Amino acid sequence: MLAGLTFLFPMLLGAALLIPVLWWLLRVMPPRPRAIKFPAFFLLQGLKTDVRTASKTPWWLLLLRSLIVLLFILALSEPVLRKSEGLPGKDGPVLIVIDNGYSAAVNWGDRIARLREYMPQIGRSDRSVIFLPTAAPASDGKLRAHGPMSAGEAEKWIEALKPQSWPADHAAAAAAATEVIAAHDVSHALMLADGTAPGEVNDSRALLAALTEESGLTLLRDDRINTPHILRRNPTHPSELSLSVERLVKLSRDEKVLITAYGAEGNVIDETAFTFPAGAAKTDVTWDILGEIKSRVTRIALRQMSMASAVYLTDSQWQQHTAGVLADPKAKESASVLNEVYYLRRALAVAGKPVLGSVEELTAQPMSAVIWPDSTALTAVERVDLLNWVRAGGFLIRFAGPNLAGNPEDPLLPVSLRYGQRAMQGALTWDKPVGLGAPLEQGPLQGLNIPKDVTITRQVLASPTPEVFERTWLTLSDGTPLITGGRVGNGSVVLVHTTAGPDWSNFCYSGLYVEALQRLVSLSAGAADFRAETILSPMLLMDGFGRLETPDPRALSRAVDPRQPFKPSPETPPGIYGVEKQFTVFNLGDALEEIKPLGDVPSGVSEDTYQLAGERSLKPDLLRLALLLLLVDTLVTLFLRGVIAMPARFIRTAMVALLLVTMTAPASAQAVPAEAELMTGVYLAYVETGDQEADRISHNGLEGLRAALNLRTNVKVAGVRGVDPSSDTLYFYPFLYWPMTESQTALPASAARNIQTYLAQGGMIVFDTRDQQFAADDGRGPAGSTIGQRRLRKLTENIQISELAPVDGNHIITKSFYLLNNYPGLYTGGTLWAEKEPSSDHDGVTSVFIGGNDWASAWSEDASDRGRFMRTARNGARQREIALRFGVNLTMVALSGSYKSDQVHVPYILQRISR
Amino acid sequence: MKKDDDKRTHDNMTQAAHLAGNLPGLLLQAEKIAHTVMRGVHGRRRVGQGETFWQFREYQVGDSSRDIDWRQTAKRDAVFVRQLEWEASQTVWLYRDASESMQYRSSPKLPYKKDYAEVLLLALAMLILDGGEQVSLLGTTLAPQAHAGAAQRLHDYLPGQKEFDTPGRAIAARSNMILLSDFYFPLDRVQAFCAPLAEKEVRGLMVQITDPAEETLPFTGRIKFHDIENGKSSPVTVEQVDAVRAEYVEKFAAHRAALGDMARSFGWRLLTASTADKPEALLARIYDLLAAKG
Repeated sequence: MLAGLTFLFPMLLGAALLIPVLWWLLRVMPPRPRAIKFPAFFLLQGLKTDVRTASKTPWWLLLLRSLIVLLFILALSEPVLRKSEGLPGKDGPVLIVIDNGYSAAVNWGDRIARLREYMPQIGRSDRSVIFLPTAAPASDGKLRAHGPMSAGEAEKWIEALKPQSWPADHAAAAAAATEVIAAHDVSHALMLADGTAPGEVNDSRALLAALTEESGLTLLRDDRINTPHILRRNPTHPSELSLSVERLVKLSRDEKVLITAYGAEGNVIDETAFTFPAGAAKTDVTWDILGEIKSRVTRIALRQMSMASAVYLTDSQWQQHTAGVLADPKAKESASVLNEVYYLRRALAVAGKPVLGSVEELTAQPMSAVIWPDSTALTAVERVDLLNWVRAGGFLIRFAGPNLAGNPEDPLLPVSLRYGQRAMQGALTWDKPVGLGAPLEQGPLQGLNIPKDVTITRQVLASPTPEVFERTWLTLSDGTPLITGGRVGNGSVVLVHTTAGPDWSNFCYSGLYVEALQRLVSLSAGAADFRAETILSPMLLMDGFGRLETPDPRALSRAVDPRQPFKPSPETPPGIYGVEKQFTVFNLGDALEEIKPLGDVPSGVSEDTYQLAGERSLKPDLLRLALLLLLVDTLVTLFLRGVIAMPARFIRTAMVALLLVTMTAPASAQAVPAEAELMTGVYLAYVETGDQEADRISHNGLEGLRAALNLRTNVKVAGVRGVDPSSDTLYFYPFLYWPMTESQTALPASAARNIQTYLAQGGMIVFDTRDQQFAADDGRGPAGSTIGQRRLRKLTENIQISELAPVDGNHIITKSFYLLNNYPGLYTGGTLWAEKEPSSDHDGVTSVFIGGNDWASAWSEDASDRGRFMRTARNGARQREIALRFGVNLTMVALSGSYKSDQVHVPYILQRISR
Repeated sequence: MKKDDDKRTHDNMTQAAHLAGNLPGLLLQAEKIAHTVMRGVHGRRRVGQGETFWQFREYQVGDSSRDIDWRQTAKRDAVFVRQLEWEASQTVWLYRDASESMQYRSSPKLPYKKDYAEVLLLALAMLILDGGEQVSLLGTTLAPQAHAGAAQRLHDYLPGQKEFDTPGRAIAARSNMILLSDFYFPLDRVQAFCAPLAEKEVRGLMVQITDPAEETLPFTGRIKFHDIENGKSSPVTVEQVDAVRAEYVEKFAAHRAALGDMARSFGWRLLTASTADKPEALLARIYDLLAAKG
């Protein structure tokens, strides 16, 4: 450790010679006398009181004081561990060129750490610093140097330095650098390269050459640090989840890359790992993401890379699409298989819950698309309202049917229609029902699977006008349009030329029906044909690390024209442009050229890596220790003067011990887990999943529940603990809250045994699959079909849980404290499962609850969680209240068991008594 | 402990509370100690005016004819007179020093010298009263008390007793006087007070009460001594107490010896007591001395 020790001011060490002098002085100068009031004072007068005896300051005190002085001397001489070599050159400022384009964002912290290391030594040599970032700033888009400034100011400046989300410009940097070197007498240049040549390779070379020739250059680059990746749409595969990944450094071994899909709330929807083959610069990834959640993906990113080019915003799917169906709300309960609304609801529920209502209701709330089945009759006033809504930018999906066929004169149509309908199968026709036409190569519905068995028996026909062809999105096998779409005012209308129900076709039975509807609904936020033809202003812009942020009003960012090819620049950073319903995503990856390495450097450049030299000043540590000892000395002096009483022998022992302690390395005290503490109160517990976000929510949720319990009930909950079933003792906790996360795998055997024992001892586990948003609308869905349930099944395959049944109205959970009939969390609906027949070993007390409503998110008092809850939950505060009541009931069941189940019999008993 | 001392001396509130809490205790304590000494009217074992028979003696010229015991005279050849034991009650004047120097103890385990002296004084008073003698406090206006319950009254008057040479009730000739003090003041002041009394044949007993620390000066290191009596006098800083200890002890012994010499010159006695000793033994000794002296 001492090998790399250097003193910056070794002369000061000579002051250590003074210590013997000090020793002598201290011995001669005794401590301040104790003062005593003494009765026989007159006897003392006249005594020879000035007899002094030497060496009465205790030796250990002398040692302590000498040590303090020695420490101060050492600190003042500024010892430095592993002192790094300074930059060449003598006087004059140091020019520091920093690549801060998009490709520098990867491992940005390491770069900055390395840069900071240079600051003390530059400060020591009394040189100033000029910074030249190679990416233009967002404020004015002009590349310029900053400085000269002192090393101290430079540290602050570095603080504010961020990578940009557009490429660097080495040509402009070269020009700026030449200018700076000419203006200031630059002594040396330091370049923190990100290893890429952002523009032409020659530009980068010119920059390096200019720096080398004018002032001498130290170039930092490092293949371990400079690993930018680019994620872009696979040009040969138009599907949304087919991506291509590029990298700068071709590793000689296979690289495992994690790719993650995020939802609109920043939640992880799915994650997969793929392998970058050794030596390849580019690879394609096709991601078979689960169909039902695909539409929720808004952002795909490489997990390990926090940089703008490794983030891919999925087009058109940014927002959750709320589709409204024009229908009599009373028809909600109708489940007639002949009802058009029934099919629409079933199809739309896959993506999100459709809203049913009248024109007035639907247009009053933010609605991405309104679906108008033909069977819903609208009044003239409603038609006008709907037309105005569409003209103002609304998106209407309309189905044909007898009503439309009889009234083809309607402004709410993409194409003009002929009167009447075309019947392909009927008493008086010979025609066979017609199948669907060829899959479309382009258009909004491209890429959909066209099933062969869909046949259309009746349709409405478009008038043969010139624009019909370009407005047709899907045709029948005979070429007549089945789906057409066009603009009406600022909005759009899509017409499906047949019914939404089975009256005119079996289209509604097919998978295509669901997919097409979904695609159409998703179009409402602006697909190709409907891209705004106007200029789009920035909505959310991406920063260098790939995070979306509201644009800085002072920034230069300006509106973009979606018809022009997108070019990332300070004026137009990547991000989302447009307004709430009409926006377009511009991804950095799609706009970038192939990534180019910086290549060979001119001779005369001294190269270095980003490896930290690890320079460390020992001055603060020494000063801290010296001050501590000074404090001890003060205390000891007080002891000695009798201000604080303590036996002298004890002081001596303590001093020796303290000296020993300060000489040796400080030992850190280990916190002892207080199991005894757990027995003194009720503690709520959740299972730590290893996913920080999930654990945070669980913790906040149980804290919220704890507050509610303490406020409302006599249960006084002492605290909340996170437990690890594989290592912690569980039997202290009334129940375990166990959320399902993406990363969980099957339990290890030890954990499974622990859990099983906990259950056998009468413990209770609440599994929260947190996936109710994926479940079918009625909450039933195929059993075990949702992601969370699959995860749960996998997780608990080692635990024996008896047969489960949905909780009914007589279950103890419905009346253990509050009377409840549903159990919402962040989500509503869903089924709560419990053991069908709880074991008689535990007095019939349920030991397992399983649900998917994400209760912890609802219980949490944390501001950000509440915000998320309010955005997501349908019924707001009321839903939260019920969720809390459920939590209270749950705790009551866990604590009081079947005590309240007698209440189940209360009505019966009362009846008996009255009789 | 010095702090403790300061507080006790200067903080009246604390002192008042302390005294209020302690004094009944003092009485009780005094009573306990007094009980350890055998009670009863102690005759003076000499002829005098009294009621108890002392001896028969042959008639001598000058004896009153009233004193002739005719029965004894009839039995024998000579004329006998009957003599009674001298039982005239005497007054014992008690004094305890209340100066600041008595407000001292070197360790919390020891009593304050003043407390020690007061307990001793009260116990003594109880014994004396029990013995049928009279008791009064020197330097106060308290009339000599004779009845057995007068200890309480003494106790009440005790705070009023300041200096021994404060003019108070005149001390009758041939009475007794007991001075409880540390005698840390110039001897000529004692001399000036005692000499006239000694001439009046007042029998005196001086009890020097000291703290062990005052005898041995057990401190070490560098110490600044302040005068406990007079806060204004300049303190004495002793660089090394060890170095002066021997000299101090010598001086202390010389002072005590001078005190003893002075007592003897009056025909009085000097007793020395340390607050580290139990007061019972001392009490018994004083009482014996008192009785023997007659």
